[in-house]
Amino acid sequence: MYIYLLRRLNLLVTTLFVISVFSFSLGHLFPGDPVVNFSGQQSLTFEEYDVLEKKLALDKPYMVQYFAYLERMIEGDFGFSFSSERHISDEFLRVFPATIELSVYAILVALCIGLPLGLLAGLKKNKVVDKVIFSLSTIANSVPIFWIGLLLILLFSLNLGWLPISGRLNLLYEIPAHTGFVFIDIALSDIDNKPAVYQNAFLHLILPTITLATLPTTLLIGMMRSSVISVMNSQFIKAARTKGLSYYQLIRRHVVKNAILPILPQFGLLFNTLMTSAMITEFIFSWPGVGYWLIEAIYQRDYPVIQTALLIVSAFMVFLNVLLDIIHSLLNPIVRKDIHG
Amino acid sequence: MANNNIYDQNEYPGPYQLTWSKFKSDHPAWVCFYLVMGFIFVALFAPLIAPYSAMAQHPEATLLPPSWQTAGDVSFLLGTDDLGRDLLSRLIYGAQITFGLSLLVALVAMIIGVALGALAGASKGLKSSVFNHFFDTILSIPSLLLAIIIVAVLGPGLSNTIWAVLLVLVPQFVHSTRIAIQAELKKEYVTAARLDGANEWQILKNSVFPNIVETLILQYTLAVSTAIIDIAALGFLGLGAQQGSPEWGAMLSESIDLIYRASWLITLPGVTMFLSLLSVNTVGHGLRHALKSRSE
Amino acid sequence: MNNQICQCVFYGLLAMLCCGCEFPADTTFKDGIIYCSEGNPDSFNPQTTTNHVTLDASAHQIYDRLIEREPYTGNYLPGLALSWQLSDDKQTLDLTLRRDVAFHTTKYFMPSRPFNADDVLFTFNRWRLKTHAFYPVAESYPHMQSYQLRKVITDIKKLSEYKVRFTFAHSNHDFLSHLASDYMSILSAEYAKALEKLDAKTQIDKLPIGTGPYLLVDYIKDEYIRFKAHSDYWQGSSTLKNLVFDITPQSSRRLAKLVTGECDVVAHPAASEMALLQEKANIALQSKAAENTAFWAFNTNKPPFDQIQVRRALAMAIDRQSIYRSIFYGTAFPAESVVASSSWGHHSGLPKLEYNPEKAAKLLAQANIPQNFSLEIWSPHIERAYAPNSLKMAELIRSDLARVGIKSTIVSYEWSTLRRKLAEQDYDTVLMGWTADLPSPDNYLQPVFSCAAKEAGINYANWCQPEFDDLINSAMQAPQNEIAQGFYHQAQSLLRQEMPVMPIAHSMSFLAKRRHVINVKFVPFSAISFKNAEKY
Repeated sequence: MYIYLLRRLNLLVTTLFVISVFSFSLGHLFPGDPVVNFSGQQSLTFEEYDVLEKKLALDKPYMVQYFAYLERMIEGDFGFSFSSERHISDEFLRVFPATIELSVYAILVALCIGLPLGLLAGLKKNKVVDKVIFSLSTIANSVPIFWIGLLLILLFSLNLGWLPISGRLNLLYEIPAHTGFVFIDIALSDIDNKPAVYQNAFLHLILPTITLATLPTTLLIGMMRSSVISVMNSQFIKAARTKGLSYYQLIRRHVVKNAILPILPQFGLLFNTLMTSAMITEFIFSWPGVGYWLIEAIYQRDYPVIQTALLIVSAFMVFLNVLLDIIHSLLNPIVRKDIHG
Repeated sequence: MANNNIYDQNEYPGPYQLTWSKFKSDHPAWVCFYLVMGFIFVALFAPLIAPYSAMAQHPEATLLPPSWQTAGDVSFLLGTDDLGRDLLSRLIYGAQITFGLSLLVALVAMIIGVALGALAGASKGLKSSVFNHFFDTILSIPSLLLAIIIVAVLGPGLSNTIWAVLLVLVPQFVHSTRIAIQAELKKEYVTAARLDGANEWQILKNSVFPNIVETLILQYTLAVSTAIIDIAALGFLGLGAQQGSPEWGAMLSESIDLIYRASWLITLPGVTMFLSLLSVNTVGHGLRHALKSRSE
Repeated sequence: MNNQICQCVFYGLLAMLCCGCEFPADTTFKDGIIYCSEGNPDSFNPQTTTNHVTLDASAHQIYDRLIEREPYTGNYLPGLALSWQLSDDKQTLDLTLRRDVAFHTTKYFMPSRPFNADDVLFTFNRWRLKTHAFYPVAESYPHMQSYQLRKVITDIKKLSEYKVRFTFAHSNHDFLSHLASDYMSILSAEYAKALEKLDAKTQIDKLPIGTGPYLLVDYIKDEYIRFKAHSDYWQGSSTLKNLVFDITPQSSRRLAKLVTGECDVVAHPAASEMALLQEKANIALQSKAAENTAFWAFNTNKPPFDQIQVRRALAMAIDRQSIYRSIFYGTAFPAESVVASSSWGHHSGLPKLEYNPEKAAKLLAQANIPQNFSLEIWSPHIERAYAPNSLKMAELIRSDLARVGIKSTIVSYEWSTLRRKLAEQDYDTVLMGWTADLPSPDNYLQPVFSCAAKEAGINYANWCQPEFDDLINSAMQAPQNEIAQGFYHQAQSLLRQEMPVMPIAHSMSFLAKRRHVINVKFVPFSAISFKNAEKY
């Protein structure tokens, strides 16, 4: 077990190393002066420039520069944004919870819809139900996410006028951001008429969540379906069946758990899809998250922000993947052996 | 052709043929296969098929709805946009960019990826381990994010988008090739060939490759669908094809201002994109299904 | 804490169940207005910019001016100055200031005294005196620099706590109109002193303190600007408690938000959807006359655009008719001169700009422009009154240029990035425009085409012609409008001759709002004002 953990951690560290080297080199690759790109301060006098160059160790060889960069990253000093002239770390802490919040809701929706449907499809393999679910999920899988977003806006907001199309909350509600998670912030605030505010936040969530959940749901259906099929064909199910368990008991006690376990490692793929879709969803619904922030930064050629966003988001993804692997191996001892072999 | 087979013997189809016939019996996949062929045809012969050039403006016919609506005009089958450009022609030329380039990019990525993958799959020890780590890193970053980052470094534009998508796809091919080769190398017939004195190259060429071709084709369909989505998404975000280009995603984002007045400018490019993705994905599914049922 | 989580979960569930319910008497929506604006302000100080997004967000919300101009009659009204007296030789101006005008009390500053003469001195000396501690805080003061107001005012004296005297270099009629412009918003000297002590001088333009009807609470780039009513406002506090600028760069999205009720007022509704807005019963349109010019500027610093012949040929290659139809949807007038036809200085005698691609190609060949010469068209990623869709406009121009054998690429930047890049002066052509902020015709010429404007970085053609400067100076010195008109006409003819920019259109500008919002001040020569806005 420890060896397995060590291997995973080793992978984590090497990967983070590669990412940090890449991110570091971006500071030199981006157009413009490295001192400006790394610090994010554009209007510098000559003296300020010299001081900064020394401080960032940019007058030294690349190796030293890299370690100085690494040190700054670990301390959370990412420099300033070109366009807002604020600390990037502050900006990131503002946008990150928004993305997490949206993603969590989308994952929940995807799990609530995808797992049962996948289970159903797997159990009724090759029957009409399966075919309907499968076709629907293939179709949903092929609709470009930005188009779904637009269609939802066209239908629910512009034609029916039911749902708002942008942001997390009506801007007239002034909720101080303590945690960055809307519902918690509302609970912590001392605003009157909280139910109305919760409702408003909820209405803002609906369209982005649906848009974001589409792709992960189809993936989950597919994963769950094939996993259920392989479980149903396995020996222990036959054994359980001969023991005289009812169909319902069989599914509840044996199939569900054993079908979910093997798809856990594939959650990495799920999160990847989610992250990609989240960027586009945030863009369409002006959701103030990491994706929206990054895309605006690209429009504004805000290099320090691009560099940091890349570093943090990819490090986060890698971390999540490794974490999933470890969780999976804790729950499922067979894997550990496999990897040793 | 005369039948030279004098023995009344059952003909057993080869493995490729078997997959092919299984694939054909999967009707949706078969239909989608024709659809893909149709898209390829359109992309290849766009200038011949399209009634107008993608950029030709018809100032006298701006914002015409599709011809089946009462205000429509038959000479502009799917209507026109606000500059009077024929939507059908733009979609056809768009197929050349979004669909055609995706096929090409995925092909180039496959060639590079398979070569590197073969190198990685055949090598062992430290070199292989470094290689694997490197590509696993890249794979753990979402493809669109990676493409966006690459575009951010290179600057927006269609050619940079293509580079970005290529760079995103190569690791995927390397990964799948490596895994497939390593799985194949463990099999006994390879050991047998090795005992016969075949060198690495011969083993790769004669034993391994014929057996992983189908996996690669499968990976290719996935890659094409990723490429279409990424090119269109970057176009939609305004980071890919230039404003005014008939690239499908860019067309969509350009028409957002007209979402009320000319909803066909939103729906039709979307439907086209959807159909192309659906057909590619379904062909991929069908192929996987056929491969699976053959091995069963 | 635990209790709060329970509460959160409870209400969350409740909210889901009650999606359709109406909650009674939520006054939040009645007490506030959301204005969907088109972009990020550069700062909150009108002195430092000519960008209308910045003016909209600051001039009439945060600040007041010494005197105000009545929009349609052009009469001057007392603002922070109760009265003013121009001496007979028109060389000095005495102002008596209003007493008991409170500055904003915010999280970042508590004023200890009301407005007085020191604030006036600080406000003007800040951009007037190069030695002033706050002069270097802003990169430039484009309006003042292009009019060379520094040279116009020789001295400002504090006569008493509430009396100020301006002394001018020569007799000046026009200074009052400058004083009433958005650029002359009054800042707080006490705040500046406090910042100087903290060594945080740059904060003065980012976290502003003024005397205006609203005070700044929070600004998040790309998202929103939040204002609150200034409770001690000298004209009486606003009936609204909150004012939020929702930054929404895409006009289609602003329109959609207006329809869904997420915005009460939107800037520059898409010209393409204007017809649709008129059908909606709960939406009203406000318009103002076309006091602006959209133009295509050639960087005359860069060959081959330094040749007059090339610029004229390029202008000749553009079919402006299709631009009016496809970009403006009939909401604009063709521009033959850069001075809008509504201005008395407009030269109506200029011939129509010729559209003749064959001749243009010939001229280009004569100027030794090779076939397949390629140029860049820069275009701001923002909607302006004069350019509802710059990108589409650029596309039309590109296809017109292709017809005369010139390849072009469209480069689109977000506004602040564009401004930064333009300052580097390494561009071919740019789609720009100018919205007048003073009623005088020279406002179309001086800040856009003079040599001083070139230095201030707002002459996007980088075109500097002493002859032209002489003409507009003579016009400004002229004792009567009739004489000035002659000079203005000559200046416009010269512009036509030299073609540093190709004028495209004078466009109507619109504001769309929900009907229950009234009294939003949307008038020519001034940024938007929510001072008297109400919602019912």
